[in-house]
Amino acid sequence: MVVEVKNLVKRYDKLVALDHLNLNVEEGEIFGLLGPNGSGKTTAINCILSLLKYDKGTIEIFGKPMSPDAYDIKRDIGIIMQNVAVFEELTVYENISYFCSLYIKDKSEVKRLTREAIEFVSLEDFTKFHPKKLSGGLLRRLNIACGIAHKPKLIILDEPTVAVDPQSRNKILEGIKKLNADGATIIYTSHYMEEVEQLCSRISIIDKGKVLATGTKDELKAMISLGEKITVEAYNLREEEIEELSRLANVSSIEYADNCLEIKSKKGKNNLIHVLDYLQNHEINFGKIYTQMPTLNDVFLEITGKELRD
Amino acid sequence: MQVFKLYFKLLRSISTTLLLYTVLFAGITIIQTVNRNDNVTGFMQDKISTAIVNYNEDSPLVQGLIEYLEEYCEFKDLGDIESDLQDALFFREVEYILTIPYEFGEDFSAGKDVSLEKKTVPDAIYATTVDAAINTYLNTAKNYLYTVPDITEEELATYVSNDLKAQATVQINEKTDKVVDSYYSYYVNFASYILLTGCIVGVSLIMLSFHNINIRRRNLVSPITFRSLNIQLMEGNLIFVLGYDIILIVLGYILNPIKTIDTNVLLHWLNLIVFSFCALGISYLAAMLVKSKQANEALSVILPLGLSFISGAFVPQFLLGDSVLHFSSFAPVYWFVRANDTIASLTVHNFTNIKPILSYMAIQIGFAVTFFTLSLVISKSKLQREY
Repeated sequence: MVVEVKNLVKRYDKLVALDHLNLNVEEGEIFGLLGPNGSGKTTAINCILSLLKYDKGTIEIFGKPMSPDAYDIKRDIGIIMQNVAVFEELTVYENISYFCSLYIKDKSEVKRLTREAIEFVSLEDFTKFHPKKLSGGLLRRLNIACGIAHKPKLIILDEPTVAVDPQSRNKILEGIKKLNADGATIIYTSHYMEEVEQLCSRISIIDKGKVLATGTKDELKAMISLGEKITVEAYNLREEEIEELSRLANVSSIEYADNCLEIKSKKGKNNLIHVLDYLQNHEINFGKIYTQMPTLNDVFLEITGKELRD
Repeated sequence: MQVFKLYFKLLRSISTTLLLYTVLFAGITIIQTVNRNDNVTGFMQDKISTAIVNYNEDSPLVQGLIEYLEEYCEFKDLGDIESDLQDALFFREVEYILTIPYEFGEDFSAGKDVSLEKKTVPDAIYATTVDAAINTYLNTAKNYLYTVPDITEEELATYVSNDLKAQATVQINEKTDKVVDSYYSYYVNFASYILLTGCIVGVSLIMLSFHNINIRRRNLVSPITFRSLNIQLMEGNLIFVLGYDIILIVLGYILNPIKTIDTNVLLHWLNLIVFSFCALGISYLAAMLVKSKQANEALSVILPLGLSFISGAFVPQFLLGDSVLHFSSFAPVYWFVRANDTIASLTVHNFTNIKPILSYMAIQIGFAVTFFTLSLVISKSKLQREY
């Protein structure tokens, strides 16, 4: 176990930011912490890193208790915070080199690792630039390079793609996969379910400081009753036809607006075939049809009754 | 020593600003020094254009008076037509018209109450010189009349002329020590402003970078201890401020036309070094209170200027009002300037004389300790709020 958090409680006066939070991160995995803004993701990360005092619970990293002076543990951790943490007065190279040198004593090793980190985030053309001259995406990449240059065993990324353009976002996500492939264990927090779904091997869904569910994305989707979402471009549907459609097997809800029929069905076989059969038998004109498997947002919606982005 | 090395890399980024301040300071000091070297030790006498209407040309006393006045006046003969004389005065051809009436010499020698007539341009400041010269001549003559009642007019004129020709030799001795003290007193007082500005620009800006919450978190999750980080920062700050002291001391020595290093100069330097700890304390406190670099830049202009003005770093303290001085005594710059002024007037270096200077320095150290303590208290409360 790389990280083991047990019954973590953090209060801000009367507000309970973390409510008996439990997390287990296995070696070599990309662990996602998914939750809406204000759900307690960053608080949890700050507690894990001993940047915040907590009221109750235990945190172990690499099998040892984590504390502010656990420097041997800190040596193997890389952190990429939500906000860019670099010195404006230093160049790209100097920033990466400085943060790397806090972990590595050998000068030539620092140089080599700095070069590798620059290559890793593709900032070769910007080594002499100051952060102010970099675009938002490049700045995020610099932030990542500063966090991973010393080749940590555990990398914690707290919403690293906030306000990043799609191109840079893809670059960052690819980089994270590569870091994991090179052997690093990753903890990735985000409120973007697509990112977490794309990246993480295991996910904990968190809300109001509590872990609501943990598992692989398939395990999480399997936890809910929603099977698939069928969307049909159907013309001039009558009230009775919509009523009859809603009575089809496994249909849990149905909505029709602007010639668009959206059917949410429960888990079961041939849900789409039943809908198509009905449309054909009743000679209902229809156009495009597409189905969508449940997303993590659906999982979150079913568990909490609200959308991830609410 | 990564943080220590980083300190100087960050310092490099503001070196242009610091250099500009230092160059500006050096420039102003040079100008001041050049001006101070123009100490007036002699002067060229200027003569006043004067028209004389003499109705008593034959009188030896009058001739003596005119001869004496030639030292002060450039006489112009414009005749005695009233309108011509008025025009000459109006067009500033002459500044003074002196009319000597008929029988003036004889009447004066006889002890009669007589007077000369004068006309000047309005607000003629030089007219008093001529008035004074006439008074001097006639008063000297009167003294002879009182003491030697039977004196003839010729004798009177001769005696007065001889008396007034007597010259006393005056030798001006430049007292080098005082010139040096005056230079250093001015230089070091002004240097306090530059030192304070430099500290707020340099130390506060660097400390602000380290106090940035995101950077502090990144440092805190690294294997470097909090204690080591703070010690390295403190070492950087001390080297910076002492380095700046040395630059100012060397600059002061180079710019001083008289290359003398005596006890007073050494005391001035010691006072500057003591003050630099205050400047460091103020900068630490500023970095704790100020939230942005822009605000710090504004503070680096306003605070040193304000403190220096009210404390007498630019204007001598004796020219400042009592209420201003009372108010400024709550600032370390006031005690720094007081110490400098006291050092400048120091001629005998015994403990009794040096004691007040040491007490002013102790007050400055007290200020420095207060600033550092306040910074630590604020830092701790900030950390507790974040933690």
